Amino acid sequence: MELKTEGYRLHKSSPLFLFIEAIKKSVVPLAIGIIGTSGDRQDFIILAIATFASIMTIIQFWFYHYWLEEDRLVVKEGILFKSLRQIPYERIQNLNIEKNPLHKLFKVATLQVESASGVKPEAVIRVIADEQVKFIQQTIKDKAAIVEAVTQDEQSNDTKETPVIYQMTNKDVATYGFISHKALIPIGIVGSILSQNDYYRGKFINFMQKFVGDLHVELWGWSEWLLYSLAFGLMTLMVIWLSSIALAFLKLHQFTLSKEGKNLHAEMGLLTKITANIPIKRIQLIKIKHSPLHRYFRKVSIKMETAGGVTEQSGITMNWIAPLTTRPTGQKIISQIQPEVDWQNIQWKNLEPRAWKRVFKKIMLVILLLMLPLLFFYQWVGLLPLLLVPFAFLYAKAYINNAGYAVNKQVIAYRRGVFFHTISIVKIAKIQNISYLQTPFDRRNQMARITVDTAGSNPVTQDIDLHYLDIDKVLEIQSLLAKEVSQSQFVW
Amino acid sequence: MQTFGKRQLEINYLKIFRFSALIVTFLVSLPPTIVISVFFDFGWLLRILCFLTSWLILFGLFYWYSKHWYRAYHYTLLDVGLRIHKGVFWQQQHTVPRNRVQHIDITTGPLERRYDLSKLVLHTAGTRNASVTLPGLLQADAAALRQELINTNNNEDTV
Repeated sequence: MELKTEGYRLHKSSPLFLFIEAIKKSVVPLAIGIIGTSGDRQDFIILAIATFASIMTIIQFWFYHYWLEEDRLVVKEGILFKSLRQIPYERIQNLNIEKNPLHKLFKVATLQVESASGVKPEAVIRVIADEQVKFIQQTIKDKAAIVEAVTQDEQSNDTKETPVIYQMTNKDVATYGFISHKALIPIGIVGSILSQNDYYRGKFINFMQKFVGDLHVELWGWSEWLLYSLAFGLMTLMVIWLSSIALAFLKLHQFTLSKEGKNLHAEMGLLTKITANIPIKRIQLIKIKHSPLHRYFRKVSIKMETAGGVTEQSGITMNWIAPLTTRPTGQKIISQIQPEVDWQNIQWKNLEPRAWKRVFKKIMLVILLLMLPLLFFYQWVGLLPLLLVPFAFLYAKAYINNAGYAVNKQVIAYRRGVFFHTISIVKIAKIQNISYLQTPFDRRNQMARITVDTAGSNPVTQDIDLHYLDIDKVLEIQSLLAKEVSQSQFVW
Repeated sequence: MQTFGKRQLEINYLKIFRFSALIVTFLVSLPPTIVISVFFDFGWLLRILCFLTSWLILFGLFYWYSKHWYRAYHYTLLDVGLRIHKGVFWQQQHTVPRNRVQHIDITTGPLERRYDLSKLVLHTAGTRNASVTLPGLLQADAAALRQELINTNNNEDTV
C-alpha cells in the first residue's frame, strides 16, 4: 500500500523509555523471583540474559515509524519480524496517553491506540513529543469526525454546555481509597514474596521473638491480651487504609471526566498522568457498584466497558465513569453521557418470589457437603454448621428481593447482590446475541435464564444474566430483545 | 427475506455422531478394564469379554442419548435472525440477529465429506458466544443459509 504522507519517528529520548518498559516487563519479575527463592547462580545468568534482551529492545527505536494518512493511522515496526498495521481513524476506540514525571522531564508522552479487536492495544507509541501527541489527537479527532459526518445517521447532539461532567474532589479520592482497600493485594503479594526468602524470614522471626519476648507474654492477663490484639488489629487496618488512600491518590488524583462533542475525555493521576479519550458510542455497558462501605458514605462507583479488550497487563486501561459519587449525581452523569436513553422510564421488576427456595437449597447443599467430613471426624460437634441455616434462609430471601431486571425498547438492565450490589445496563443496540438457557432444575420449577453477549464483555462476570424467571416471561423478553436488536444498527 | 420453521439436522449427522461415539467409548472403556485386570487375575478371554461388555454398555447409553440429542437439536430462521436450540438436560437456545453477524465459516470434516455435510460457524462481535456453530447441514443448504444471512445483513458498519 502506498503511503502519501511523510512518516514520523519516535522522540529522541525513546530508547530510555523503551528500556525502562522492557526492564519492568522482564527484569523486575525475575528479580522478584530471585529475592523470593534466595538466589542461586543460574538465576543471575537468567537475569543477565533478560537485561541483555531489554537492551536489545532499544534497537526497536530505529525501526519504528508511523504515518498519519488521509483516513488511517499506519504503524510499521519490527526488526526481524516486521509488521505494518493500518488502523482506520473511525475504528479507533480509545486513545490513551500516559505521562509520568520522567515523561514530563523530557516533555514527551506514551500514546496508546485501541480498536475493538483483541486483548492487545493496536499500537503503543512510546514515546513522542507533547506537541506531536496533540497533533495526532487533533488529526484523529478531525478525520474521524469527517467520516462520521458522512456516514453517521445519528443526530449530532453536540451540546455546547459545560464540558466537565464529573470532577473528583480530594475528599472523594480519600474516601474511595478507604472504601476500596486496594492496598490489600500489593501488601499481600510483597509479604508473601518476602516470606519465601530464608534471610528475610529469619530476620523477621528474630525481630518478632525479641519484640514479643520483651513484652513477657507469659505474664499477661486477659485484659492485656485484649488490649494488645486490639492495638495490633487497629495498626494493621490503619496501614492498609493509609496505603490504600495513597494508592488512590496516585491513580485518581484530580480525576476529571468531560464531554467533548461525541467523546468522553478523562484525566487522572498524581505522578503518572493518564489522559483517555473514549467515543461515547463505543460504550458497551455501564455498571454501578456499591459495597456496604459505599452505603455508609452514601456513594456509588460507576464503571463502563468498551469494546476493546485491553487489560491492565497489556496496556493502559481506563474504564471509570465516576469512581465515587452520590447516587443522584451518578444518574445525572449517566444521563448526560447517554441522553438518548429515557432513564426515567426504567421500571424494575422482581424475580419470581418462590425462587428463594432454590437459592436456599443451593446454600444448604454447600453447608451439607461441608458438614460431611466434619461429621465423620468430630461426630456430634460436626452438626455445628447447621447453626448457619437461619442465615442461609435470610440470605436466600434477601438475594431474591434485591435482584431485579428492567427491559424496555432502549436498554436491558440487571441488578443483583446482597452485600455488594451491582447494576449493569446495556443498550439494546449493543447486544450481539441472545441466549436462552434452561437447566433440569429450571425445568422442574418452570423457570429459565436469559443472557446477552456484548462486545468486550467480561466473560467471567456475566453481567446481564436474568435468572430465576418464569419461562413465559423469559420467552417474552427474548422475542422483544431479538426484535429490537434486529431493528437497531450496531455501531462499534 | 427468507424464513423457515423448525428444521432438524440431517439424519446422516446422527450417524457421524454415533460413529465418533463408538471411538470415544472404545477409548474410555480401556482404562477400567486395565485396572480390573490388575486387581483380579483372570484369563485373557474373560478380559477381552469384560472390555467388550463395558464398551457395549457405554456405547448403548450413548446411543440412547444421541437419539434424544438429535431430536432436541433444531434450528429456525426467523425474521430477526437464526435461532439454534440444543441440549437434552441442559437446554440452550441461541439467537443470532441477522445484522449482528460479522462473518460466516463453512467447515467440513473427513467424515462429514463422506455424507456431503457441512458445519456452519457464525461469528459475532461478542465475547462469550462470539461464535455459534450449527453442524449437520447439507453442503448446499449451508451455502444457501450463509448466502441468505449475508444478503439480509443490512449492517452498514462493515467491520
